[in-house]
Amino acid sequence: MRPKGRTDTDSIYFKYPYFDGPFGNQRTALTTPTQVAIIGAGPIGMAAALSLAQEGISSLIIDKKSTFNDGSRAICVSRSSFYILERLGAVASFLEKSLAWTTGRTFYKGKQILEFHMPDSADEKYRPMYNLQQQYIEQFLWDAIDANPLIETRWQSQLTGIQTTNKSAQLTVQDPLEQYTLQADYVLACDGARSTVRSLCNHRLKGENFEGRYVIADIKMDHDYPTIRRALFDPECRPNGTVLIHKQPDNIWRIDYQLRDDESEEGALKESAVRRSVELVLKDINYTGPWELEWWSVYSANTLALDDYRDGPVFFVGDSAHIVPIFGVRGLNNGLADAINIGWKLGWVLNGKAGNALLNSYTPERRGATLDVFANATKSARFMTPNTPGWRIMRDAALSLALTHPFAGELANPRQMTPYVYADSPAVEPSFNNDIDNSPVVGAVVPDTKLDSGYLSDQLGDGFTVLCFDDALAHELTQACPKSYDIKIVTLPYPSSQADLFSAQQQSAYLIRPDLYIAARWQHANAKAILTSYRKVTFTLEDAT
Amino acid sequence: MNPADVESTYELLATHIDRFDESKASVYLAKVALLMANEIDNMDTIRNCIAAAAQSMDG
Repeated sequence: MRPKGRTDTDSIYFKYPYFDGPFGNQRTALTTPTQVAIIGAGPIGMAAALSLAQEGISSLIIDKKSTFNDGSRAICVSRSSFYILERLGAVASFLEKSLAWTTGRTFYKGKQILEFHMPDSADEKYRPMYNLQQQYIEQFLWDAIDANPLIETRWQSQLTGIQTTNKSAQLTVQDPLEQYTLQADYVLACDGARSTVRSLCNHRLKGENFEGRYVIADIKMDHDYPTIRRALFDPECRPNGTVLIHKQPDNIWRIDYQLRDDESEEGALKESAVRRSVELVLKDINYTGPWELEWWSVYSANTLALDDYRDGPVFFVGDSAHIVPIFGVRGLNNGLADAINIGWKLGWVLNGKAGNALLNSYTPERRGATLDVFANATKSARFMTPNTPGWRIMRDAALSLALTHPFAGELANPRQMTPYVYADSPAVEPSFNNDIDNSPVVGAVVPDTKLDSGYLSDQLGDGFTVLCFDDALAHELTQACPKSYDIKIVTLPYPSSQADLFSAQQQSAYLIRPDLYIAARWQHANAKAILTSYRKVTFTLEDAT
Repeated sequence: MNPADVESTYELLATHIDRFDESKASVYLAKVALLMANEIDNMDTIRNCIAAAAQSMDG
């Protein structure tokens, strides 16, 4: 919502573009079948399209809107997402515009009880977290989409019907001029929390609703404070409630504040109520200068997910498949991880580099990640908005004890997201050698490390990468590897600090997937074992014999 | 722990609980538990104490 007299996209700092519906030549091919239809041109749909395009697969994006989503919405982009954006070829604008941060401060009754620092070091290419308004996220992804000839986007085009068989989907689309149908071999439902595809397919999200409701408000002010996440528990402006404050680019500040049980959503969302509440928060943080109200909205903390992220040719990606509480910044980041997961897998299946069965690994990997997020987010939500006497008593005890005893303050550490380990996925190889101490495990994201020039991640291939530590093994693999296999071989020096990071012996090797997850590892590798694993995790074992 | 110390603990807790009204007393006891747990620094002992207290409530 925006102040009186301003429309949904009438921002004080961002110019929303206007996109026409299909016109001219574009209309002559409206009903041409497409391999992949993506419903929703939000950040997740755009990331999925870019990921497919990287595999040379064209796609068609359909969105009912005529511009980007209104408001700043998801503002925290994690390190793991920056690697995804890098692989999508879009990271430069994100780096330039966003605000990196590593530190959070937690206050109780106005006094600081905790300062936490997220893990960071010179071996990390990206910072743990970046703040950026969602409309910039969409703008930067759109810039990449717009420049990509493999992606067609139809704005002002609403999906009104979908009929699926095991092999394809028939989509009915309404645009400003007509209704038409077209066939798609696959559909990626990236149409958000209120997914049209989900309701047309009669699927329901299942899970829990938490009690806490928050208003999120963006304001513009010239406030002198670094990019540090502030959490205020029981502050003067919101007795017994919680307030979060984040800095965003363009002097925009995000203020989240918890509503009391007796505050109606309708009343709290009135412009006058938002202004009054923001004014009180600013008083608490000693800001007395002028400020402008930009945008506000409301959310409640839910943990909801589909039982299966796939229904025949339809894959649910991002919020259409799961809704998570926003403390801990897992909505957008989890959605981007979904998008690149289905993007590379579907791309590899469609361009013949992988077998169809690879697609069956999407739900276990990404739903597994969602359940992991739920476990963590439930912890955060219980601390932010305890919903039983037990959680409330312990939370209150920890907060007030923390004023004098720092160990209790650690209980307020939100412990931001780390990527989920796909340990039980069919698209990774169970590790035969679990005795590689402290080394990155199969199903985990490959760690990055500084090399003589640049980072290890710069060296990884667009397809699979074999990381080895021995020139002879690299040579053997080069000789044995069929030309059709999309494998890049990277040899790291041995002995070296990089080899230590992987607890590697000279004969060790790691097989890394296009999404940077470790597919297999060996303490004593040989070319045959590596190539067999590649065939297994790409589900091409039979073709390759 | 000798009987005298057990008794002292008993008395100290009783007199301190009475300094707070009923709703605050729970938070006070929770703080005592967190501080003692931090001193004990042995998760098995702590887990056993928490479970034993709950069991004796049922009995």
